[in-house]
Amino acid sequence: MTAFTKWQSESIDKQRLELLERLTASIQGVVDGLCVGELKCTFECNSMLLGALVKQIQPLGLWPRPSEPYTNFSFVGIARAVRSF
Amino acid sequence: MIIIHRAPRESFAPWDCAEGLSDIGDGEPDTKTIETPGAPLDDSTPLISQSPPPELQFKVSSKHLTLASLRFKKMLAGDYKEANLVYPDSCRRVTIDAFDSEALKILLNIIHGKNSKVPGSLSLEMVAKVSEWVDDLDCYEQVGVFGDIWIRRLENSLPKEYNRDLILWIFISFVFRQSSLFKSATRTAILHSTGPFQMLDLPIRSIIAGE
Repeated sequence: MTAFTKWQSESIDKQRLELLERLTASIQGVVDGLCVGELKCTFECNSMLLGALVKQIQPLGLWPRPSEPYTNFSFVGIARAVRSF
Repeated sequence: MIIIHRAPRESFAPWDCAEGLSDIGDGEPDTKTIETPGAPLDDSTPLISQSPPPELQFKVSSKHLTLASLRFKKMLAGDYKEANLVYPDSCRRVTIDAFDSEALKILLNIIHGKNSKVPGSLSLEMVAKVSEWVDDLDCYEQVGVFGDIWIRRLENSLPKEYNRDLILWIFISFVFRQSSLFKSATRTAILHSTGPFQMLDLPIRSIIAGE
């Protein structure tokens, strides 16, 4: 019998979570980079970028970094918001 | 043989609207695609749309059903008592109290080769209701051609965001083995969903729970 299996349904959830994991990890990576000064810029410049970034992602619920099950977050939603910065 | 169908009281594939829509969700609220459960559908016939009778009876050919549906084949070949009890009118009786009557009528017309009585186009909702039967009775081979026709006429309306229609699309594209539509619809679900994937009350759920 051709049944939509549990595996397929779970796979949709799993792939969504993996994508959100990677997306939020990369945002976290930028914040971390600015904190430790890895990005090649002056202290003032990094501080300003860090502040501006946190100020923008905090109201969106992206700071502190959200975690599973990422309720109310979609990959496309976050990607759109980040692109608009 | 006579199939006695009792329509279930529950509404078809209810969408859980409680899911919050945050600013960072999908941009557009998807309220426009939420249909009121139980609202009359465009393609429902007077037969069932006006205060539906408690049950409908379909006189069917058990030979046709056996050929078309693996489920019926097993039911009628085995010692399922109800199906093998012959009544004074020399008909057997099977009672089913799930799914949609109108969709069953369409399916039975197909199985009995009454192609001229089969609608050339159906609403997404009705294709999904027929899909429930196709999935349950295991009769894709008989109905697949019609599924292709119905789906071709609807595919321009494949949603680009996560909503109830998208789940219906995932379901029908799976049942009717439309792999590229299935991929496209599940991809949209993965990218746009703002919470755990919900399967409405489609048979998928019972299959998941049961097997």
